[in-house]
Amino acid sequence: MKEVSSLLLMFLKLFLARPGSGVIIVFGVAGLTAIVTSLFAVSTAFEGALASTGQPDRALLLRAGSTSEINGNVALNQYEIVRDMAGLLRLQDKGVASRETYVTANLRMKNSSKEATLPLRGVEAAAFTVRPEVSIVSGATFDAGKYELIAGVKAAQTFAGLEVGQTIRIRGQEYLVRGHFSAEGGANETELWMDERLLAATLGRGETFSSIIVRLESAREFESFQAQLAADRRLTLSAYRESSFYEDLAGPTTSMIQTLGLLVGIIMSIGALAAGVNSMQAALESRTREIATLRALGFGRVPVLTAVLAECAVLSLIGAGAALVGVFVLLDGQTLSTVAASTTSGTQVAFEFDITGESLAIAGLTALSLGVLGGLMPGIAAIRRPIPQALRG
Amino acid sequence: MTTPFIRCENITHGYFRGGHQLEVLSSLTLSVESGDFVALMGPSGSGKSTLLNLIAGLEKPHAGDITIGGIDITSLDEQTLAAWRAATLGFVFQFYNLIPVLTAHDNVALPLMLTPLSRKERNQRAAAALEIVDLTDRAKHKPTELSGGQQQRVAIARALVTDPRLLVCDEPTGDLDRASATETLQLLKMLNTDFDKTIFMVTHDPEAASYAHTVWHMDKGNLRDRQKRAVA
Ligand SMILES: Nc1ncnc2c1ncn2[C@@H]1O[C@H](COP(=O)(O)OP(=O)(O)OP(=O)(O)O)[C@@H](O)[C@H]1O
Ligand SMILES: [Mg+2]
Repeated sequence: MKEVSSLLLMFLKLFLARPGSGVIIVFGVAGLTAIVTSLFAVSTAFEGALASTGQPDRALLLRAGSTSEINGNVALNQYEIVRDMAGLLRLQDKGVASRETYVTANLRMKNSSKEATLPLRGVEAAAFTVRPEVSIVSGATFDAGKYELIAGVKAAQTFAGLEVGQTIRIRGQEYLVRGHFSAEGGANETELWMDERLLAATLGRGETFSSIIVRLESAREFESFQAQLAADRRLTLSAYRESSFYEDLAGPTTSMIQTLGLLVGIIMSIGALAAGVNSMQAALESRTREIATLRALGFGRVPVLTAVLAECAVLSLIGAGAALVGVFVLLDGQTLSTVAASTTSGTQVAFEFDITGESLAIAGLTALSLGVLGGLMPGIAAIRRPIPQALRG
Repeated sequence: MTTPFIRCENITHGYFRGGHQLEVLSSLTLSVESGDFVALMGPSGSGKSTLLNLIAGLEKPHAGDITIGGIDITSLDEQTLAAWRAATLGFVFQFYNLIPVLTAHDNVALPLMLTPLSRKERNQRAAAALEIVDLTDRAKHKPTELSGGQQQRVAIARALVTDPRLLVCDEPTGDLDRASATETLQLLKMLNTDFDKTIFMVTHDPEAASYAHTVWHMDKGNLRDRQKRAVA
């Protein structure tokens, strides 16, 4: 141990004295770590948002043929019919169903002067019954019939002017922000909610709304509920299980991110590994003489190789540390949403970069294994050189 | 007759070069008594360094046995041989081979890392070795801050710090001016007489050879003749 640690210290000093192309290992590892961590953060955040938004016992009802809430235009009478259907969860003899009107709003973002789109959802009290995960976390809810709204916590974080008590102009109308709500991380947190009938009237859509969200007795009821809906001639609605709706919506993006991530990750790893191997090769060649001297003095091959690998590990961790600091500063807590990616569908899934312990561990392990792998071959080559020639450098 | 300290018996060694085997030493036999100061001379390429490297256990002969202090080093495995070098040998090289990023003191203390000595004991021993070569005031200097002669004295301190029985020196004065060379040779002679180190030195320099008790001449891998001097 003592000999390995004194060798490690010496090697690090030698490295500092002649960093040369050896620093490439640090940069290679840093680049790879940054990419792996970001991709990992994106895909976990995405999955997290998905998992918490879609519930299997909820169904989203849209006008037949429509794939998004934004295309709305469901006639008012449909709502009453749906509420009486079998399979719905009933409270006080009424089916739990929420009639909603959905449009988009443009607001200025907090940390830039740019505007971005977010959903403005008109809801009734039933919206809260349908979504038990939604709760007011500050202020109060809006009053029916008034130009008031509540903002999801992620919306309030991202957009300017959404503090409780502020008034904000949306589509030419002033609204009072009455409160903030959370939805256990679900996509609703990026929305603004207000009174449904008032919104419909403001939009001049008094006779229609956009969608109905219903809560079923259980997730198993969905198929029969869907069949019932299709069989009823009075209804022109299609039903989506809420969980699959969000999965379908974000699915292509998620799997694209994952495939792309894997591909980029693999290519980067190979590149970084090659760079690391080269880099350590050069660094070790520049100390051929010192290594031969050490071995002549009686330092064994195993301690020398161990110290070389430990050095690579240290250099890699430095690279990884630098990359993590960079990623952390740039991305941690940033809320992104699929708004830009899916303006046509008009429905967003928000996700947040979180540098978690898990991503730290993954980054650390990637860096370490890359560094150690990168040092292995040059290290073995270095300890296998015949001592007499190497002594002369 | 006592058994010699170093005994090379019928050693054959060579290198593979340009597609064929180049025989450097063939059936060479040599004995060195304990406490001797041997100088090995001879023209360039005659195989002096090859013999020294074999005796130092840096290479293994293709044939023959080398016994040092009763141990047949040709039969030792890599790891045991390294430990044997650490315990038995001190090296002095033509170009000093100090670790450039370590101070003189840390260079001298380096071989002690392979011993069970405590840090305090290691530091004491390194300081004592530096005192023997009269470089106590340069302990904190890096090799680049020292003259060639001073660097070679640091290397000698490093060679003697583990108190080995044998010092092997390949052209220890080859890179030094006359004054530094003399200093170095006087130091080696003192280690031989006062500290009872057996010394095996390869040199081109007749002046250097004059410090030795035994001088061998090598030509094309053969030991030609031996001069034995009276101990001064
Ligand atoms: N690793 C090696 N590979 C191939 N040939 C070698 C190797 N080492 C030594 N030789 C050859 O073996 C012969 C003896 O070399 P050696 O270094 O023992 O000579 P030397 O007597 O020490 O010479 P010098 O006085 O120049 O140091 C030379 O012809 C040399 O070129
Ligand atoms: Mg030589």
